[in-house]
Amino acid sequence: MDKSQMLAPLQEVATIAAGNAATALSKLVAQPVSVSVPTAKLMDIEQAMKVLGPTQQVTSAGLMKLEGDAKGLLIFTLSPDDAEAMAQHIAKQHTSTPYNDVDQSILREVVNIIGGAALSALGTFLGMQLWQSIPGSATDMLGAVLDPFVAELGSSYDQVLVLQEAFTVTGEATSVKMLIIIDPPSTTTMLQKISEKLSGNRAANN
Amino acid sequence: MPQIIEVGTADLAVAGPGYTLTTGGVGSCVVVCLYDETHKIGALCHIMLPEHPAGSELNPLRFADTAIPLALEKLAEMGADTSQLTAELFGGASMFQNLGVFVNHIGEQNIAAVQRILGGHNIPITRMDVGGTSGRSVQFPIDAGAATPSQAIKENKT
Repeated sequence: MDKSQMLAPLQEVATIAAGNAATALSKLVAQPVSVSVPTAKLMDIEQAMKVLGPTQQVTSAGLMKLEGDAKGLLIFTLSPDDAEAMAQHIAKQHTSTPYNDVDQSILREVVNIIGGAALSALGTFLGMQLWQSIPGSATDMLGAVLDPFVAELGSSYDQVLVLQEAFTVTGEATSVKMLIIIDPPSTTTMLQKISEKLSGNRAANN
Repeated sequence: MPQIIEVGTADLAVAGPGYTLTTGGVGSCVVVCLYDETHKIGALCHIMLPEHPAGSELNPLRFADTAIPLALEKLAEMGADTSQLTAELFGGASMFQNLGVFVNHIGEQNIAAVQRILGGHNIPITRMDVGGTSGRSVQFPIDAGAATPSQAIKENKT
């Protein structure tokens, strides 16, 4: 089986996570949310740092570690303007700059909620216990914000599984990018769980 | 106009006069600029972690203890005198003070590892702009023989 075939079921997994995350985000902002077609790719961690945009681009990001039966990272990014718009919308209060503490705590809460929704859907589908660490958030150059989180994976692995999706809040025209990075042992576990699930379904159908 | 060579995370480049080495979005990573003034040859390494795990086949340019020797080799190949080098260090910020041990301290560990390794090669450090809570970008015009850091955000509130 080549790699693209192997990754096809993971694309399905990404879709499930994206659907649930989009629903959670939609509830949070009380607006319809559209989802891009999710992708699942294996890539070097240096490459994974570039998929969210240019490393020097100032970005608002919320990051969490994926813990439990699978290890990795959950990363959410927005432009600072979109982060501010979303924080204003949620807090219904004026915030003059994306760099203040109120916005950052709202950003952490947003990523906590939509990350949790994505993980609970994944966990239920795969029959795995998944949870996230306390979120960190920052507004700075994208590469700088990703550095310490990606470094931890980079101390053990070269190639990781990257599930990528994007959400757009239709009314606000704000968009949020989500990256779920899974380490190699956890990727193997997930593929096993999927194949068990598929053979179980086949047995049930016979 | 100097030709610009952009160096990614966990990568390095060596160049002579007429070139500017640049790298951006440096958070807890450390950028090491090495320079041989006599021959006007410089190197820029963008390092992510302190030590290459023994026996692993991970990208050696990601780790201080394997990237710096590789930079020295490349400098020597380009005709630099590696006994005359000076170094400048940038980066090693703590991007998320509210978070766990690894994320919080990796920047400091990177700086300490680079200082130790440069010391082992008798390379004096002429300038450090390290730590803090904000990311940096670095421009290293070889003709000037000195690098310049810049920050997009002065105080990164996390």
